[in-house]
Amino acid sequence: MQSLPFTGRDVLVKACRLSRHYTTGGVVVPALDGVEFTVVRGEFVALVGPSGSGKSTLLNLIGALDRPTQGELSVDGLSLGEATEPQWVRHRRERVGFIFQSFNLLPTLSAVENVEIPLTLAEVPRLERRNRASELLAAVGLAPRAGHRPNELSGGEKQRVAIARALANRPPLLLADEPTGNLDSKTGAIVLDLLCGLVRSQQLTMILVTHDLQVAARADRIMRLQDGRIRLVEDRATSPTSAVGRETEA
Amino acid sequence: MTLSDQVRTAWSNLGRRKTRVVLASLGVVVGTVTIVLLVSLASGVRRQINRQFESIGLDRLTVLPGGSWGGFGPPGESKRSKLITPAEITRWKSWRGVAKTTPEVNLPGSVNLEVKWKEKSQSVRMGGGMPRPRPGPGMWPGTPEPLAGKLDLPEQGAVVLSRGAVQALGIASNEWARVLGQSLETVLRTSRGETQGFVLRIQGISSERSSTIQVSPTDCLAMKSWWFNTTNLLQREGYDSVTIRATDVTQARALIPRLREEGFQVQSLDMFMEVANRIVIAVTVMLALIGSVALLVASIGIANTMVMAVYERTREIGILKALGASRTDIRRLFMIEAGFIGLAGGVVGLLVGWGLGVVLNQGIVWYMQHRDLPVREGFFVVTPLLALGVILFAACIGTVAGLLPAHRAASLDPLAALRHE
Repeated sequence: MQSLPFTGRDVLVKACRLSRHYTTGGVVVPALDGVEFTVVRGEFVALVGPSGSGKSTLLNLIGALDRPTQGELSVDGLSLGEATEPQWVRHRRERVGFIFQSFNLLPTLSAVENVEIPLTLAEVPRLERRNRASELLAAVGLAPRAGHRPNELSGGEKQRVAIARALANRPPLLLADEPTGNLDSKTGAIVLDLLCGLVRSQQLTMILVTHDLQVAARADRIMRLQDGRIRLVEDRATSPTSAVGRETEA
Repeated sequence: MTLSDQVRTAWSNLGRRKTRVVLASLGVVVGTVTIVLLVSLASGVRRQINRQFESIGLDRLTVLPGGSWGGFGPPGESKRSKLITPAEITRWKSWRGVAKTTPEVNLPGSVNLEVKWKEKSQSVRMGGGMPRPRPGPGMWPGTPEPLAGKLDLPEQGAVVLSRGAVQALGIASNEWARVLGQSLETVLRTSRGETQGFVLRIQGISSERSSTIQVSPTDCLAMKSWWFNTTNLLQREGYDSVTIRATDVTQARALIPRLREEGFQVQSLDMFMEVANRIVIAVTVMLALIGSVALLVASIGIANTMVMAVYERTREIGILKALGASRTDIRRLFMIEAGFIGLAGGVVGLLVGWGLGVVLNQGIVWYMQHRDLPVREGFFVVTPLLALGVILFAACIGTVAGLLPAHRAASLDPLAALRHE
């Protein structure tokens, strides 16, 4: 297990010998293979690696969209491997906020209605959720576009709506799967600035999957995955100017 | 997710696919129209039956002598174990709840009876008592109405003629008022060829269509005595029946067991109405079941629509699950949508069925008036209970049809659903 860069702070995510195997045509494919790591509160971790290295699989496991094959994974004290279905639902609703590469907004709803979805699922009263959604849209600079549907928004605007939606229920952990992957570099940079600004200002924890090393460079820590294992951890928080790279044991 | 949010979301989702929803609910409309028409028809028939019975009078009881029926056997060999004597009638009159008693004597159906007016004679049937409702030309009995004179219990020596009888005798309607108080002869004829005439005074003319006459029980008794060639028939056989009019329906019901305890047979319209209602209710249930089959078939259409919706909205389901929707949220959402399709079909079907019923009612009333039948109301009656029941049933059918698709939606793996294109 890696040493913690944020010593003395709460551990939010903890993985121990975490594996996720898929069986395709009778062949077992290890998407994740005995991964161990921790993420503390307030930390911004970037997951990098080639396609098929297990980045998204790890994100899905942390977000309780998938169940581990072996090992332990706990988020905010909840052991996801042993959690029941209602606990998973509550975890997705209250502990994590998802930001997808393809935005995943509901096309029939307006921007503000999309942001309201997690609040509706959490049974927040109607007026309160409308106020909260409007505040969030204002925070991402989309207040004038609140009534527009996704097909009337640009890529960057869509992703900003998705960010607002992810923050709706004030989750302690944001999971971003290539949030700038579908955006041009300029828009991507703006969105990333916004995201990082919000994470820092609200002291949120974020795990971000990316192929883009410039995006990863904004993180406190970079975990490089390859063949389902963490191969390298660059701890940028302790030495931001010259990242410390440590090869992990296979 | 609260129920109100789910209802609002489901309604909004259906609004996005109007054409499909309309097509899916068409089957429900047809099924609901079938149920509404069939059950409202049964309700209408039941109402007509009850009205007819009520118009005749539910407060009336017909008391018959005790023992086996058929008191028209040879005199002296009465099969009646309990006779209706004048003394019994006097006693009943003193009972609480008895408003009026009317004794009746009937001639056997085999008696050949004719009335003679001037040169014409007409074969008639006769009753010894009040002109009573008889089956009309349709299936409903009509209460006789006075066309001239009085229809009260004929006095001794008086007769009430039916319209059928006076028409057969060639008395035109403009002469009806003039013939009142005039005499006519009633002739009894045995099979051996013996005849006996009784001269009677015309007291009134009833609206009865068949050829009948009504005479007083005393006159009828006299005719019957001649027919059987016997005396003191009343002492030996008693009256054939007594109509007791109670002060109200409740009193009439209370009198039935009391009279039966004394050994008399009692018939009341209330009893007939109850039996008729039971039959109509059984028919109603059968008709409703037939309509329900149509609605069940419609549920297949709803299920198909919902299965398609689940397939098309797989990614949306994945997004909702990733954002924290539970299986129950998703299941309920789809079931409410299916229920709405059923509900919409039910409401439209009810309105269409009700509208058709109104049109058919007008046609029926026109036909009845045209045929001069004593029915002034339509047969298709949509009661509030039927309206509410059919809407709820349609909504339930829709919801049940959505069960399987909703279960499929709820069971979707969120990750697989998010990857669905």
